[in-house]
Amino acid sequence: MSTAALRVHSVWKRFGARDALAGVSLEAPRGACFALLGHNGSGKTTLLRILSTLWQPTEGDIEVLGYSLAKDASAIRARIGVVLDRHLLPRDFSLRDGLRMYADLHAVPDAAARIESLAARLGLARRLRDPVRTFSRGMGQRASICRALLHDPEVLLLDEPFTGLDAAALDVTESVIEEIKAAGRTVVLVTHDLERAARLATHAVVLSNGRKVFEGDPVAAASVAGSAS
Amino acid sequence: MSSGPQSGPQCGASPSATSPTQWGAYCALVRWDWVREMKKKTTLISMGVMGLITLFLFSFAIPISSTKAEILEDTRAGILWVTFLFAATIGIDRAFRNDAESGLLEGLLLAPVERMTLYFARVTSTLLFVVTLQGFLFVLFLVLFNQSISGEGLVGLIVSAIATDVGFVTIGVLISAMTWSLPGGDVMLRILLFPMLLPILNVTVEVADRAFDGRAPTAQQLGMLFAVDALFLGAGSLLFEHLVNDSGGSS
Ligand SMILES: Nc1ncnc2c1ncn2[C@@H]1O[C@H](COP(=O)(O)OP(=O)(O)OP(=O)(O)O)[C@@H](O)[C@H]1O
Ligand SMILES: [Mg+2]
Repeated sequence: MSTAALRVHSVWKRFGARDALAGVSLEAPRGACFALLGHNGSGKTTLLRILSTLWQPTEGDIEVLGYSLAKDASAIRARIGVVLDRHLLPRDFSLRDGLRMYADLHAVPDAAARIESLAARLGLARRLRDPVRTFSRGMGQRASICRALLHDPEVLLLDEPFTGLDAAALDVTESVIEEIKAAGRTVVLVTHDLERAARLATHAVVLSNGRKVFEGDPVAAASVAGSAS
Repeated sequence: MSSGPQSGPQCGASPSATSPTQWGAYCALVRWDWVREMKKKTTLISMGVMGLITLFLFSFAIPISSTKAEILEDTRAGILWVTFLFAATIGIDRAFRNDAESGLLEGLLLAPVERMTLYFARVTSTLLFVVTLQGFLFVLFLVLFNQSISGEGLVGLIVSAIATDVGFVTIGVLISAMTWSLPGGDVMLRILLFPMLLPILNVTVEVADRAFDGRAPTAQQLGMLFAVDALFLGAGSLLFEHLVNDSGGSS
Protein backbone atom coordinates (compact mmCIF):
# COMPACT_ATOMS: atom_id res chain seq x y z
CA MET A 1 0.00 0.00 0.00
CA SER A 2 1.29 3.50 -0.84
CA THR A 3 2.71 5.72 1.87
CA ALA A 4 0.64 8.78 0.94
CA ALA A 5 -2.63 9.26 2.78
CA LEU A 6 -4.03 11.32 -0.06
CA ARG A 7 -3.05 11.51 -3.68
CA VAL A 8 -4.93 13.96 -5.86
CA HIS A 9 -3.94 14.00 -9.51
CA SER A 10 -5.12 16.83 -11.81
CA VAL A 11 -8.65 16.94 -10.52
CA TRP A 12 -11.28 19.05 -12.23
CA LYS A 13 -14.79 19.75 -11.06
CA ARG A 14 -17.11 21.64 -13.37
CA PHE A 15 -20.47 23.10 -12.48
CA GLY A 16 -21.95 24.05 -15.83
CA ALA A 17 -19.49 26.51 -17.34
CA ARG A 18 -17.70 27.17 -14.03
CA ASP A 19 -14.58 25.33 -12.98
CA ALA A 20 -14.74 24.92 -9.20
CA LEU A 21 -11.48 22.94 -9.43
CA ALA A 22 -9.15 23.31 -12.38
CA GLY A 23 -6.47 20.65 -12.44
CA VAL A 24 -5.53 20.46 -8.76
CA SER A 25 -2.83 17.97 -7.76
CA LEU A 26 -1.49 17.34 -4.30
CA GLU A 27 -0.14 14.64 -2.07
CA ALA A 28 -0.41 14.36 1.70
CA PRO A 29 1.81 11.92 3.60
CA ARG A 30 0.35 9.85 6.43
CA GLY A 31 0.39 11.65 9.74
CA ALA A 32 0.24 15.06 8.10
CA CYS A 33 -2.07 17.86 9.02
CA PHE A 34 -2.84 19.32 5.65
CA ALA A 35 -4.28 22.83 5.63
CA LEU A 36 -6.38 23.80 2.63
CA LEU A 37 -6.56 27.59 2.44
CA GLY A 38 -7.99 30.15 0.04
CA HIS A 39 -10.58 32.86 -0.39
CA ASN A 40 -14.35 32.29 -0.51
CA GLY A 41 -15.28 30.25 -3.56
CA SER A 42 -11.72 29.07 -4.22
CA GLY A 43 -12.76 25.41 -4.26
CA LYS A 44 -11.80 24.15 -0.79
CA THR A 45 -15.17 22.64 0.11
CA THR A 46 -15.51 21.20 -3.38
CA LEU A 47 -12.20 19.37 -3.00
CA LEU A 48 -13.10 18.17 0.49
CA ARG A 49 -16.46 16.84 -0.68
CA ILE A 50 -14.76 15.00 -3.49
CA LEU A 51 -12.22 13.50 -1.06
CA SER A 52 -15.12 12.44 1.15
CA THR A 53 -16.66 10.52 -1.82
CA LEU A 54 -19.84 12.63 -1.77
CA TRP A 55 -19.05 14.20 -5.12
CA GLN A 56 -17.29 12.78 -8.10
CA PRO A 57 -14.60 14.73 -9.90
CA THR A 58 -15.37 15.65 -13.49
CA GLU A 59 -11.83 14.56 -14.35
CA GLY A 60 -8.77 13.33 -12.52
CA ASP A 61 -7.72 10.54 -10.18
CA ILE A 62 -7.83 10.37 -6.42
CA GLU A 63 -6.47 7.87 -3.96
CA VAL A 64 -7.17 7.91 -0.25
CA LEU A 65 -5.00 5.57 1.84
CA GLY A 66 -4.14 3.77 -1.37
CA TYR A 67 -7.78 3.10 -2.30
CA SER A 68 -9.03 4.49 -5.58
CA LEU A 69 -11.95 6.84 -5.16
CA ALA A 70 -13.52 5.59 -8.38
CA LYS A 71 -13.32 1.90 -7.42
CA ASP A 72 -13.22 1.57 -3.63
CA ALA A 73 -15.33 4.46 -2.34
CA SER A 74 -16.94 2.30 0.33
CA ALA A 75 -13.55 1.21 1.73
CA ILE A 76 -12.52 4.86 1.83
CA ARG A 77 -15.70 5.84 3.68
CA ALA A 78 -14.95 3.24 6.36
CA ARG A 79 -11.62 4.95 7.06
CA ILE A 80 -12.47 8.64 6.92
CA GLY A 81 -14.30 10.94 9.31
CA VAL A 82 -15.91 14.04 7.84
CA VAL A 83 -17.07 17.32 9.37
CA LEU A 84 -19.14 19.44 6.98
CA ASP A 85 -21.17 22.60 7.50
CA ARG A 86 -24.14 20.58 8.89
CA HIS A 87 -23.99 18.05 11.71
CA LEU A 88 -25.76 15.32 9.66
CA LEU A 89 -27.47 13.83 12.72
CA PRO A 90 -31.20 12.98 12.72
CA ARG A 91 -32.84 16.10 14.16
CA ASP A 92 -35.54 14.32 16.13
CA PHE A 93 -33.14 11.86 17.74
CA SER A 94 -31.33 12.42 20.97
CA LEU A 95 -27.61 12.93 20.48
CA ARG A 96 -27.02 9.44 21.92
CA ASP A 97 -29.37 7.76 19.43
CA GLY A 98 -28.02 9.78 16.52
CA LEU A 99 -24.46 8.77 17.33
CA ARG A 100 -25.61 5.21 18.00
CA MET A 101 -27.05 5.06 14.49
CA TYR A 102 -23.74 6.07 12.93
CA ALA A 103 -21.85 3.73 15.26
CA ASP A 104 -24.01 0.86 13.99
CA LEU A 105 -23.35 1.81 10.38
CA HIS A 106 -19.62 1.82 11.07
CA ALA A 107 -19.82 -1.34 13.23
CA VAL A 108 -18.02 0.46 16.07
CA PRO A 109 -17.14 -2.00 18.85
CA ASP A 110 -18.35 -1.03 22.32
CA ALA A 111 -20.27 1.88 20.89
CA ALA A 112 -21.99 2.99 24.09
CA ALA A 113 -18.69 3.60 25.89
CA ARG A 114 -17.19 5.27 22.84
CA ILE A 115 -20.16 7.66 22.60
CA GLU A 116 -19.98 8.49 26.30
CA SER A 117 -16.27 9.23 26.17
CA LEU A 118 -16.42 11.36 23.01
CA ALA A 119 -19.41 13.34 24.28
CA ALA A 120 -17.57 13.97 27.56
CA ARG A 121 -14.52 15.02 25.63
CA LEU A 122 -16.49 17.54 23.56
CA GLY A 123 -18.46 18.81 26.54
CA LEU A 124 -21.76 17.22 25.49
CA ALA A 125 -22.06 14.53 28.19
CA ARG A 126 -25.02 16.22 29.82
CA ARG A 127 -26.80 16.75 26.51
CA LEU A 128 -26.72 13.16 25.27
CA ARG A 129 -30.41 12.74 25.97
CA ASP A 130 -31.54 15.98 24.32
CA PRO A 131 -32.92 16.05 20.77
CA VAL A 132 -30.31 17.32 18.35
CA ARG A 133 -32.80 19.86 17.01
CA THR A 134 -32.55 21.76 20.29
CA PHE A 135 -28.78 22.24 19.99
CA SER A 136 -27.16 25.62 19.50
CA ARG A 137 -24.88 26.11 16.52
CA GLY A 138 -21.68 25.48 18.47
CA MET A 139 -23.18 22.39 20.08
CA GLY A 140 -24.15 21.11 16.64
CA GLN A 141 -20.55 21.60 15.57
CA ARG A 142 -19.28 19.69 18.63
CA ALA A 143 -21.79 16.91 17.89
CA SER A 144 -20.53 16.81 14.34
CA ILE A 145 -16.96 16.34 15.55
CA CYS A 146 -18.13 13.48 17.83
CA ARG A 147 -19.84 11.84 14.85
CA ALA A 148 -16.74 12.17 12.69
CA LEU A 149 -14.51 10.61 15.37
CA LEU A 150 -16.82 7.71 16.32
CA HIS A 151 -15.12 5.04 14.25
CA ASP A 152 -11.61 6.34 14.94
CA PRO A 153 -10.93 7.29 11.31
CA GLU A 154 -7.50 7.13 9.73
CA VAL A 155 -8.14 10.34 7.82
CA LEU A 156 -10.14 13.23 9.20
CA LEU A 157 -11.59 15.74 6.73
CA LEU A 158 -12.63 18.96 8.43
CA ASP A 159 -14.46 21.78 6.67
CA GLU A 160 -14.21 24.86 8.86
CA PRO A 161 -14.41 22.86 12.10
CA PHE A 162 -13.80 25.90 14.31
CA THR A 163 -16.93 27.77 13.19
CA GLY A 164 -19.22 28.62 16.08
CA LEU A 165 -17.01 27.05 18.76
CA ASP A 166 -16.30 28.80 22.06
CA ALA A 167 -12.78 29.08 23.51
CA ALA A 168 -13.03 25.81 25.45
CA ALA A 169 -14.29 23.83 22.46
CA LEU A 170 -11.62 25.41 20.25
CA ASP A 171 -8.94 24.16 22.62
CA VAL A 172 -10.40 20.66 22.69
CA THR A 173 -10.73 20.54 18.91
CA GLU A 174 -7.12 21.63 18.58
CA SER A 175 -5.94 19.02 21.05
CA VAL A 176 -8.01 16.36 19.26
CA ILE A 177 -6.26 17.29 16.02
CA GLU A 178 -2.88 17.12 17.76
CA GLU A 179 -3.69 13.67 19.16
CA ILE A 180 -4.79 12.40 15.79
CA LYS A 181 -1.57 13.64 14.24
CA ALA A 182 0.43 12.03 17.05
CA ALA A 183 -1.35 8.72 16.42
CA GLY A 184 -0.04 8.83 12.84
CA ARG A 185 -3.41 9.71 11.33
CA THR A 186 -3.99 12.34 8.71
CA VAL A 187 -6.03 15.52 8.95
CA VAL A 188 -7.22 17.74 6.13
CA LEU A 189 -8.16 21.09 7.55
CA VAL A 190 -10.15 23.65 5.57
CA THR A 191 -10.22 26.92 7.45
CA HIS A 192 -10.11 30.71 7.25
CA ASP A 193 -8.42 30.80 10.65
CA LEU A 194 -4.91 31.32 9.26
CA GLU A 195 -3.23 31.63 12.62
CA ARG A 196 -4.57 28.31 13.80
CA ALA A 197 -3.79 26.69 10.45
CA ALA A 198 -0.19 27.90 10.66
CA ARG A 199 0.06 26.47 14.17
CA LEU A 200 -1.55 23.08 13.54
CA ALA A 201 -0.66 22.21 9.98
CA THR A 202 2.44 20.41 8.81
CA HIS A 203 1.68 21.00 5.12
CA ALA A 204 -0.47 23.56 3.34
CA VAL A 205 -1.97 24.36 -0.03
CA VAL A 206 -3.56 27.62 -1.09
CA LEU A 207 -6.28 27.50 -3.71
CA SER A 208 -7.48 30.42 -5.79
CA ASN A 209 -10.28 30.11 -8.33
CA GLY A 210 -9.96 26.35 -8.33
CA ARG A 211 -6.20 26.34 -8.93
CA LYS A 212 -3.34 25.59 -6.59
CA VAL A 213 -1.35 28.81 -6.19
CA PHE A 214 0.92 27.75 -3.34
CA GLU A 215 2.09 24.54 -1.74
CA GLY A 216 4.52 24.18 1.14
CA ASP A 217 5.19 25.56 4.56
CA PRO A 218 1.97 26.38 6.50
CA VAL A 219 3.27 29.70 7.83
CA ALA A 220 4.19 30.90 4.36
CA ALA A 221 0.88 29.52 3.03
CA ALA A 222 -1.04 31.47 5.66
CA SER A 223 0.61 34.69 4.56
CA VAL A 224 -0.08 33.90 0.88
CA ALA A 225 -3.73 33.14 1.73
CA GLY A 226 -3.91 36.28 3.88
CA SER A 227 -2.63 38.55 1.15
CA ALA A 228 -4.72 36.92 -1.58
CA SER A 229 -8.04 37.47 0.16
CA MET B 1 -23.40 25.83 28.09
CA SER B 2 -22.99 24.36 31.53
CA SER B 3 -20.46 21.64 30.90
CA GLY B 4 -17.25 22.70 29.25
CA PRO B 5 -15.22 20.26 27.26
CA GLN B 6 -13.04 18.09 29.44
CA SER B 7 -9.80 16.39 28.91
CA GLY B 8 -10.60 12.74 28.60
CA PRO B 9 -9.98 9.62 26.61
CA GLN B 10 -7.67 9.71 23.67
CA CYS B 11 -9.29 10.15 20.28
CA GLY B 12 -6.84 8.16 18.22
CA ALA B 13 -6.86 5.25 20.60
CA SER B 14 -9.79 2.98 21.22
CA PRO B 15 -11.80 1.26 18.49
CA SER B 16 -10.15 0.04 15.35
CA ALA B 17 -11.80 0.77 12.01
CA THR B 18 -13.73 -2.34 11.10
CA SER B 19 -15.69 -2.30 7.87
CA PRO B 20 -19.20 -3.50 8.58
CA THR B 21 -20.62 -6.16 6.31
CA GLN B 22 -23.15 -4.89 3.80
CA TRP B 23 -25.76 -7.14 5.37
CA GLY B 24 -25.07 -5.63 8.80
CA ALA B 25 -25.30 -2.13 7.38
CA TYR B 26 -28.53 -3.01 5.56
CA CYS B 27 -30.14 -4.29 8.76
CA ALA B 28 -28.95 -1.23 10.70
CA LEU B 29 -30.34 1.13 8.07
CA VAL B 30 -33.74 -0.55 8.00
CA ARG B 31 -33.93 -0.71 11.78
CA TRP B 32 -32.99 2.94 12.26
CA ASP B 33 -35.42 4.04 9.52
CA TRP B 34 -38.15 2.25 11.40
CA VAL B 35 -37.09 3.72 14.76
CA ARG B 36 -37.02 7.19 13.21
CA GLU B 37 -40.51 6.79 11.76
CA MET B 38 -41.85 5.48 15.06
CA LYS B 39 -40.63 8.64 16.83
CA LYS B 40 -43.20 10.89 15.18
CA LYS B 41 -44.97 8.61 12.69
CA THR B 42 -45.37 11.55 10.32
CA THR B 43 -45.11 9.45 7.17
CA LEU B 44 -47.49 6.75 8.41
CA ILE B 45 -50.01 9.34 9.58
CA SER B 46 -49.84 11.34 6.34
CA MET B 47 -50.32 8.18 4.29
CA GLY B 48 -53.13 6.98 6.55
CA VAL B 49 -55.01 10.28 6.35
CA MET B 50 -54.70 10.34 2.56
CA GLY B 51 -56.03 6.77 2.37
CA LEU B 52 -58.86 7.60 4.72
CA ILE B 53 -59.94 10.63 2.67
CA THR B 54 -59.81 8.64 -0.55
CA LEU B 55 -61.94 5.84 0.92
CA PHE B 56 -64.47 8.35 2.25
CA LEU B 57 -64.74 10.07 -1.12
CA PHE B 58 -65.31 6.72 -2.82
CA SER B 59 -67.92 5.81 -0.24
CA PHE B 60 -69.86 8.92 -1.25
CA ALA B 61 -69.42 8.31 -4.96
CA ILE B 62 -70.41 4.62 -5.00
CA PRO B 63 -73.80 3.59 -3.64
CA ILE B 64 -73.41 1.04 -0.82
CA SER B 65 -76.97 -0.22 -0.92
CA SER B 66 -78.09 -3.82 -1.28
CA THR B 67 -80.08 -2.96 -4.40
CA LYS B 68 -77.00 -1.71 -6.22
CA ALA B 69 -74.54 -4.22 -4.79
CA GLU B 70 -73.36 -5.20 -8.27
CA ILE B 71 -71.85 -1.72 -8.86
CA LEU B 72 -69.65 -2.14 -5.84
CA GLU B 73 -68.80 -5.71 -6.83
CA ASP B 74 -67.51 -4.44 -10.16
CA THR B 75 -65.48 -1.60 -8.69
CA ARG B 76 -64.26 -2.66 -5.23
CA ALA B 77 -60.89 -4.04 -6.34
CA GLY B 78 -60.21 -0.82 -8.25
CA ILE B 79 -61.28 1.34 -5.30
CA LEU B 80 -58.95 -0.57 -3.02
CA TRP B 81 -55.92 -0.19 -5.25
CA VAL B 82 -56.51 3.45 -6.15
CA THR B 83 -56.66 4.14 -2.40
CA PHE B 84 -53.47 2.14 -1.75
CA LEU B 85 -51.71 3.96 -4.55
CA PHE B 86 -52.66 7.49 -3.55
CA ALA B 87 -51.73 6.86 0.06
CA ALA B 88 -48.49 4.98 -0.56
CA THR B 89 -47.21 7.56 -3.02
CA ILE B 90 -46.94 10.04 -0.16
CA GLY B 91 -44.50 7.75 1.66
CA ILE B 92 -42.57 7.06 -1.52
CA ASP B 93 -42.24 10.76 -2.25
CA ARG B 94 -40.70 11.18 1.21
CA ALA B 95 -38.26 8.30 0.84
CA PHE B 96 -35.45 10.80 0.25
CA ARG B 97 -36.94 14.27 0.38
CA ASN B 98 -36.94 14.78 4.17
CA ASP B 99 -33.54 13.26 4.75
CA ALA B 100 -32.02 15.18 1.88
CA GLU B 101 -33.44 18.46 3.11
CA SER B 102 -32.30 17.89 6.68
CA GLY B 103 -28.81 16.86 5.56
CA LEU B 104 -29.13 13.37 6.97
CA LEU B 105 -28.89 11.79 3.54
CA GLU B 106 -25.32 13.10 3.24
CA GLY B 107 -24.50 11.47 6.54
CA LEU B 108 -25.83 8.16 5.24
CA LEU B 109 -23.92 8.60 1.99
CA LEU B 110 -20.75 9.06 4.08
CA ALA B 111 -21.26 5.74 5.87
CA PRO B 112 -19.23 2.77 4.60
CA VAL B 113 -22.21 1.38 2.79
CA GLU B 114 -22.49 0.55 -0.89
CA ARG B 115 -25.01 2.76 -2.69
CA MET B 116 -26.95 -0.36 -3.62
CA THR B 117 -27.24 -1.36 0.05
CA LEU B 118 -28.54 2.08 0.90
CA TYR B 119 -31.09 1.81 -1.90
CA PHE B 120 -32.34 -1.63 -0.90
CA ALA B 121 -32.54 -0.58 2.73
CA ARG B 122 -34.64 2.43 1.79
CA VAL B 123 -36.85 0.23 -0.43
CA THR B 124 -37.29 -2.20 2.47
CA SER B 125 -38.24 0.41 5.04
CA THR B 126 -40.63 2.14 2.63
CA LEU B 127 -42.13 -1.27 1.87
CA LEU B 128 -42.65 -1.88 5.59
CA PHE B 129 -44.48 1.45 5.91
CA VAL B 130 -46.61 0.74 2.83
CA VAL B 131 -47.59 -2.78 3.93
CA THR B 132 -48.46 -1.55 7.43
CA LEU B 133 -50.62 1.15 5.89
CA GLN B 134 -52.35 -1.27 3.53
CA GLY B 135 -53.30 -3.56 6.41
CA PHE B 136 -54.97 -0.66 8.14
CA LEU B 137 -56.70 0.64 5.01
CA PHE B 138 -57.91 -2.83 4.03
CA VAL B 139 -59.72 -3.35 7.33
CA LEU B 140 -61.20 0.12 7.03
CA PHE B 141 -62.33 -0.67 3.50
CA LEU B 142 -64.10 -3.87 4.60
CA VAL B 143 -65.94 -1.98 7.32
CA LEU B 144 -66.79 1.12 5.31
CA PHE B 145 -68.01 -0.76 2.25
CA ASN B 146 -69.53 -3.62 4.18
CA GLN B 147 -67.43 -6.25 2.41
CA SER B 148 -66.10 -9.63 3.44
CA ILE B 149 -63.45 -11.95 2.04
CA SER B 150 -62.86 -15.69 2.39
CA GLY B 151 -59.65 -17.10 3.88
CA GLU B 152 -58.44 -18.37 0.51
CA GLY B 153 -59.25 -15.05 -1.13
CA LEU B 154 -57.35 -13.21 1.58
CA VAL B 155 -54.20 -15.29 1.08
CA GLY B 156 -54.30 -14.63 -2.67
CA LEU B 157 -54.84 -10.94 -2.05
CA ILE B 158 -51.93 -10.68 0.41
CA VAL B 159 -49.51 -12.54 -1.86
CA SER B 160 -50.43 -10.47 -4.90
CA ALA B 161 -50.43 -7.20 -2.92
CA ILE B 162 -46.93 -7.85 -1.63
CA ALA B 163 -45.71 -8.80 -5.08
CA THR B 164 -47.23 -5.59 -6.42
CA ASP B 165 -45.83 -3.48 -3.58
CA VAL B 166 -42.29 -4.74 -4.18
CA GLY B 167 -42.37 -3.53 -7.79
CA PHE B 168 -44.23 -0.37 -6.98
CA VAL B 169 -41.95 0.66 -4.12
CA THR B 170 -38.74 -0.38 -5.91
CA ILE B 171 -39.40 1.84 -8.89
CA GLY B 172 -41.06 4.53 -6.76
CA VAL B 173 -38.04 4.92 -4.48
CA LEU B 174 -35.78 5.12 -7.53
CA ILE B 175 -37.92 7.87 -9.07
CA SER B 176 -38.07 9.64 -5.73
CA ALA B 177 -34.25 9.77 -5.65
CA MET B 178 -34.49 11.38 -9.08
CA THR B 179 -37.22 13.92 -8.34
CA TRP B 180 -36.81 15.09 -4.74
CA SER B 181 -34.54 17.99 -5.65
CA LEU B 182 -36.60 19.22 -8.61
CA PRO B 183 -39.10 22.06 -8.31
CA GLY B 184 -42.50 20.35 -8.34
CA GLY B 185 -40.73 17.06 -7.71
CA ASP B 186 -43.71 15.57 -5.87
CA VAL B 187 -45.95 16.03 -8.94
CA MET B 188 -43.18 14.84 -11.23
CA LEU B 189 -42.91 11.65 -9.17
CA ARG B 190 -46.57 10.84 -9.79
CA ILE B 191 -46.39 11.73 -13.48
CA LEU B 192 -43.46 9.38 -13.97
CA LEU B 193 -44.58 6.64 -11.60
CA PHE B 194 -48.26 6.05 -12.41
CA PRO B 195 -47.84 5.22 -16.12
CA MET B 196 -45.09 2.72 -15.24
CA LEU B 197 -47.46 0.99 -12.86
CA LEU B 198 -50.27 0.48 -15.36
CA PRO B 199 -49.25 -3.06 -16.40
CA ILE B 200 -48.98 -4.40 -12.82
CA LEU B 201 -51.98 -2.43 -11.68
CA ASN B 202 -54.15 -4.11 -14.32
CA VAL B 203 -53.05 -7.52 -13.12
CA THR B 204 -53.25 -6.83 -9.42
CA VAL B 205 -56.76 -5.35 -9.69
CA GLU B 206 -57.85 -8.49 -11.56
CA VAL B 207 -56.29 -10.62 -8.81
CA ALA B 208 -58.04 -8.60 -6.10
CA ASP B 209 -61.33 -9.03 -7.98
CA ARG B 210 -60.88 -12.80 -7.98
CA ALA B 211 -59.89 -12.69 -4.32
CA PHE B 212 -63.19 -11.06 -3.33
CA ASP B 213 -64.94 -13.92 -5.17
CA GLY B 214 -62.87 -16.37 -3.10
CA ARG B 215 -60.60 -17.44 -5.97
CA ALA B 216 -56.81 -17.66 -5.88
CA PRO B 217 -54.59 -15.79 -8.40
CA THR B 218 -53.48 -17.76 -11.45
CA ALA B 219 -49.84 -18.74 -11.91
CA GLN B 220 -49.73 -16.47 -14.94
CA GLN B 221 -50.88 -13.46 -12.96
CA LEU B 222 -48.33 -14.03 -10.21
CA GLY B 223 -45.64 -14.68 -12.81
CA MET B 224 -46.38 -11.34 -14.41
CA LEU B 225 -46.15 -9.51 -11.06
CA PHE B 226 -42.85 -11.21 -10.15
CA ALA B 227 -41.40 -10.51 -13.60
CA VAL B 228 -42.12 -6.79 -13.21
CA ASP B 229 -40.59 -6.88 -9.70
CA ALA B 230 -37.40 -8.38 -11.14
CA LEU B 231 -37.33 -5.78 -13.90
CA PHE B 232 -37.76 -2.86 -11.51
CA LEU B 233 -35.26 -4.28 -9.01
CA GLY B 234 -32.71 -4.58 -11.81
CA ALA B 235 -33.35 -1.01 -12.95
CA GLY B 236 -33.10 0.30 -9.40
CA SER B 237 -29.82 -1.41 -8.60
CA LEU B 238 -28.25 -0.23 -11.85
CA LEU B 239 -29.39 3.38 -11.75
CA PHE B 240 -29.50 4.44 -8.10
CA GLU B 241 -25.75 4.90 -7.70
CA HIS B 242 -25.64 7.35 -10.61
CA LEU B 243 -28.47 9.40 -9.17
CA VAL B 244 -26.88 9.95 -5.74
CA ASN B 245 -23.33 10.33 -7.02
CA ASP B 246 -24.38 13.20 -9.24
CA SER B 247 -25.79 15.20 -6.35
CA GLY B 248 -22.86 17.62 -6.67
CA GLY B 249 -24.10 19.05 -9.94
CA SER B 250 -23.60 17.85 -13.46
CA SER B 251 -20.30 17.79 -15.17
N1 LIG C 1 -23.46 22.71 -6.02
C1 LIG C 1 -22.87 23.69 -6.72
N2 LIG C 1 -23.40 24.10 -7.87
C2 LIG C 1 -22.80 25.07 -8.61
N3 LIG C 1 -21.66 25.68 -8.27
C3 LIG C 1 -21.07 25.31 -7.12
C4 LIG C 1 -21.64 24.30 -6.27
N4 LIG C 1 -20.85 24.14 -5.21
C5 LIG C 1 -19.84 25.02 -5.35
N5 LIG C 1 -19.97 25.72 -6.51
C6 LIG C 1 -19.04 26.74 -7.00
O1 LIG C 1 -17.73 26.22 -6.93
C7 LIG C 1 -16.81 27.22 -6.53
C8 LIG C 1 -16.04 26.72 -5.32
O2 LIG C 1 -16.94 26.61 -4.21
P1 LIG C 1 -16.49 26.03 -2.80
O3 LIG C 1 -17.70 25.85 -2.02
O4 LIG C 1 -15.62 24.87 -3.04
O5 LIG C 1 -15.62 27.24 -2.23
P2 LIG C 1 -14.88 27.36 -0.84
O6 LIG C 1 -13.43 27.53 -1.15
O7 LIG C 1 -15.26 26.27 0.06
O8 LIG C 1 -15.47 28.73 -0.33
P3 LIG C 1 -15.81 29.22 1.18
O9 LIG C 1 -14.53 29.70 1.78
O10 LIG C 1 -16.75 30.34 0.96
O11 LIG C 1 -16.43 28.08 1.91
C9 LIG C 1 -17.64 28.48 -6.27
O12 LIG C 1 -17.52 29.32 -7.39
C10 LIG C 1 -19.04 27.97 -6.13
O13 LIG C 1 -19.96 28.92 -6.61
MG1 LIG D 1 -16.35 26.14 1.86
